[in-house]
Amino acid sequence: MRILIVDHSKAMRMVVRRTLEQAGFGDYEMIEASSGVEAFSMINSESPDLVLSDWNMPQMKGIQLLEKVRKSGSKVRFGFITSQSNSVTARTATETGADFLLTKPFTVDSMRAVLGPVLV
Amino acid sequence: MPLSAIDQQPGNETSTLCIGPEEVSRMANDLFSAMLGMPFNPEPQESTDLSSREVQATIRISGDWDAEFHVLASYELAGHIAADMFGTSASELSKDEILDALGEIVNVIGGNAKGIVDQDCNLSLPCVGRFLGELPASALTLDFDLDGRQLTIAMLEK
Repeated sequence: MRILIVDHSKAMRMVVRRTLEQAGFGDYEMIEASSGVEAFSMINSESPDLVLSDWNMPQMKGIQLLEKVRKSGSKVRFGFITSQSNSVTARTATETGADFLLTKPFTVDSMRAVLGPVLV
Repeated sequence: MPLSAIDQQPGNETSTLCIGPEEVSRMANDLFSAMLGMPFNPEPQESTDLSSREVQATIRISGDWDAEFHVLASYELAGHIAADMFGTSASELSKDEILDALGEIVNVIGGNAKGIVDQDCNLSLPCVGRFLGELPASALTLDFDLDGRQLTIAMLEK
């Protein structure tokens, strides 16, 4: 199982990676992208099983990445990790084809609760 | 000091929800205590002297609700936060990495505020750099104790 972590902030990618490990997903291979453009390329070249993407990124927003991924025909499981968790964000994410939305700040427990059913 | 952002603009009917000290405190506590596991006192202290703040991260919310959030810290505290996020010592981090971490702090706070307001708004990308020593007088400015150091969070509703 391979997880692609997408965030323009290296610090946040480190926090996500560490929390995934603490939540019991340390055995999964984790790869990282620092932009939506890089992530789209890696989705094609690395074939991750799950994409965890930030929402607010330069150049290509997370939602634009998801749109591009779905238009390409990919059915990769895709979730957002975002601080902007409100009704508009949730509806937009769902309508675009996101599988879940995890709110920042997250905890080990919330990470496990959201990703557990996805990673079975 | 006004107790909530909406009190600063009583005639602004588009600001139907207020972000006040309690919300800022809760957002910061969720971020520092719950997510990062850092010792954080959610009780704001009276804000007085900003002379020890050296770096700043700013994010803007625009749309049906317009506001700015600023996070100010000494460079040492910014390094301490970054060290926690990166899981290493501050001495091993570059200036860019330290500022990246502070930018992500204000990004989470601004995003959470946008989520609370739940109106049609856009969140900018965080902007980080040296603190120039002054905040607008109308800003809601709160100081917190973060692991024995002073962190300032300021919100300015436009």
